[in-house]
Amino acid sequence: MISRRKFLGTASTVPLLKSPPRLPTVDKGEKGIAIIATEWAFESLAQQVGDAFLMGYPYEGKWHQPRARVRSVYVERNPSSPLIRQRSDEFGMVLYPTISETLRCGKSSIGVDAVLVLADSGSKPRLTQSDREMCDRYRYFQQIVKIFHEEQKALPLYFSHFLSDYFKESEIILSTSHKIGSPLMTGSTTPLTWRMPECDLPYGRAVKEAVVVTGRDSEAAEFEALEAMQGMLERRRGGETGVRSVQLLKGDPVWQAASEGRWSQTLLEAALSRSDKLLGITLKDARPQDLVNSGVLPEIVDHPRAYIIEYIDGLKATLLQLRGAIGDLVFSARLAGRTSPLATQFLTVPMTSGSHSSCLVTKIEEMVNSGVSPCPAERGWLVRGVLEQAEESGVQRGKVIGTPELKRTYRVPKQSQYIRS
Amino acid sequence: MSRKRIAAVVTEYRRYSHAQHIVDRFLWGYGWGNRHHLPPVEVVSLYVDQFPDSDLSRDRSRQFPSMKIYPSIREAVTEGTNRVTVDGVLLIAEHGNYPRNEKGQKLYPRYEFFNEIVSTFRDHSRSVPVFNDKHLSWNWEWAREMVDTSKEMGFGFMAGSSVPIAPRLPAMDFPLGSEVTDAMCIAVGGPDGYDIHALEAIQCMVERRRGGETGVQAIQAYRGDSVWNWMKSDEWDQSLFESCLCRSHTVRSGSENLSHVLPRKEAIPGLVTQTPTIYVCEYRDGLKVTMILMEGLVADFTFAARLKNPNRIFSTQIYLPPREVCNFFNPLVHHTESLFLTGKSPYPIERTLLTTGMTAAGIESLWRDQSRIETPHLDVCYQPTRHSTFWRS
Repeated sequence: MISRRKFLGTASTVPLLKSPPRLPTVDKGEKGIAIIATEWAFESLAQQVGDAFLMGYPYEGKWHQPRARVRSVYVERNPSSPLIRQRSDEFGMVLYPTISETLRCGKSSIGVDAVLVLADSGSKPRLTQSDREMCDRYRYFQQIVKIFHEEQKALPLYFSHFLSDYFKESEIILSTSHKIGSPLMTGSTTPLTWRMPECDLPYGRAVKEAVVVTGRDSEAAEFEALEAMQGMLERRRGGETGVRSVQLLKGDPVWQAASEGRWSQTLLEAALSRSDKLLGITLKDARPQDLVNSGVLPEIVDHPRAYIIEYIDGLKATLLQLRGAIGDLVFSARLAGRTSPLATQFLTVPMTSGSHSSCLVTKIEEMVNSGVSPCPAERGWLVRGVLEQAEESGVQRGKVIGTPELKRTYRVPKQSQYIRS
Repeated sequence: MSRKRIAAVVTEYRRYSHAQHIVDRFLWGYGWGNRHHLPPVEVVSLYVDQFPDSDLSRDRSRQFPSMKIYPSIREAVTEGTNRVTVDGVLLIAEHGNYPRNEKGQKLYPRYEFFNEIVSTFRDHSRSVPVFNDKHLSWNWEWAREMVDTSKEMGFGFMAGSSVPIAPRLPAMDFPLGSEVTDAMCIAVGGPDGYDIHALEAIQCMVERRRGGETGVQAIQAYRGDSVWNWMKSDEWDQSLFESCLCRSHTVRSGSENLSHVLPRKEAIPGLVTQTPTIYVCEYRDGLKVTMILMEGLVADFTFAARLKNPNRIFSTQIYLPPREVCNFFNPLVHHTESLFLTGKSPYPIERTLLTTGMTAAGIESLWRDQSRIETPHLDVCYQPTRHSTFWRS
């Protein structure tokens, strides 16, 4: 552990690599950030994002020091952990016992310029009720908004991964933020991460159909897959106008739907052509495979799931969870006026690398400094709504569920937001 | 148009061998152009030099009966007839149980295989394109002879590592015609195995500089403790080193509680898990190149170069997908298809001739107590392709 005194004492022998710890000086132009976290454990999201603001992160081939400081922190679980104490000692960030004191930096009025709510999405396949209560973003939001009301001041807000585990709460958070004028951003790294190849949906292009395929079987993975796909589709002609219906198929009906043309096997082939983690017999002898046309998928995918989404403007999109087929996340789409599909992989960068979260942190930093969210919060709202209704469809044995509550219009900037530099 | 028919001449064919990655892609196809691509090229004959317990060639031949295994290279190229019946030859002499010489070089039989292929061409008065995987030989003179022979006989000759054509993050190519003073690559592995990959990563970039390639005049290698002594000097570009690390997705911090920072200088020796190796290469036009192998500090390949007018650092990561599938062989196989379909190598053979010579000189330097080796023989001059050839579509 490097104490502040020791660092200052050795400041004249600056290490070769200019990696912080930074000196905890105050730059008058810097914005101040409050972090509300469920946990600040090593390799947690709070540690990744928090450290990026404390120490900087790699960006465009250089070490980038954000023009924003973490001034105050609230941690719900294990607030006395040695890791948090170490960060406090080295960087001057102050830990407070309540959200109110965190936003006010222990004083009588708000002392920060933005608030980041960093709750892990959970690694369990399906979250339990107690998991949800522990990571209760909505509870945090209620406390934050109360303070905003008390002080007649609304700050930019970022919610990691999603607004809430429940659509109703997501709706409240979204509408309340709009009402009070609080710029709102939410989401995971997935829509913003590197793509292989680099490509985005051409802005304003009509899309006929899309497919996103994940090899991970968990709520979080399915949310991220839909979020990544939505980050593409919302760029289409007319912008986003909402979802008309959702259907969840499980098991053999997934393949039956393909043979009936309800989702495109051509698009699946295109998406899988971008996978770098083929499973099945590839694990045994490293051979490449044409998983679609060989007919092997039903044999190697034990529990397939297909979320078939009909959009209001006629677009059809399908999330395929094909654990056993691939180990990564891939996407493809058929565009109007183009014979060959668009396809790409959303690259998974090791979590231990600064590069994993830098694509997200740079966007959070952009919001903190500009006061405008570069990524629409409506995206996460829509995805939560789709998943919730899909779950209902699953309970009702694959019934198509109409989703009038998912009618909403939003537009996104023309400039792509995913990391390319 | 009928499919082209090729022979594959390989040292061994087992899981994760280069022969398996390359030939399997001709057999089963691979992801390309947003679909599963089946090459219009058929492997009809196979020569396999060694059959370990994990051999896959016999299994492949059973699954693809049109691909026959022959007991000699000559018979593979002629399919047992009295003429050269194939339209191209894959020469994949990487992996297998071969001796090492006193310098530690593994004596893969690339030259010997090439000579047998060429002898068959001469005897039957027909030459066809040849692809040689990785460097041309462990011996510079033999490599030179191989390239000269291909030109004398007029057949398309392609060689090299998959690294120059692998995808990049970001997907950028070195600006054509740039002025560059220094370049660096940080990679994994050790000499006589991965040095060629790192040198090809550098060369595919710097060959695009102003004036094209004019060769290398000297190389000095460092290994082990001398690497750390060299890093204490002022002879290297710290900014390029940092830039490379900022492009890495696997750089380790050297700290138990800090995951997202660059390591301190004094922590680096403790992070490197294989003996570190550096080749400092002086090019004839003044360019200085540093190849750094420090596995454990990183687990990927990154590149950075200092450009002039305007002054800036160009950097990128050469992305190598996981080894379970090794999809960086997709662009290699695709370019090899192009060789067989057009008869011409999609990129200059001189690139790999130069990197073969640089690898041999680096090994020589290590063998001679890490002394500076003059390389007048590496006056290899060529122009790069105008268009990029790395995988980005």
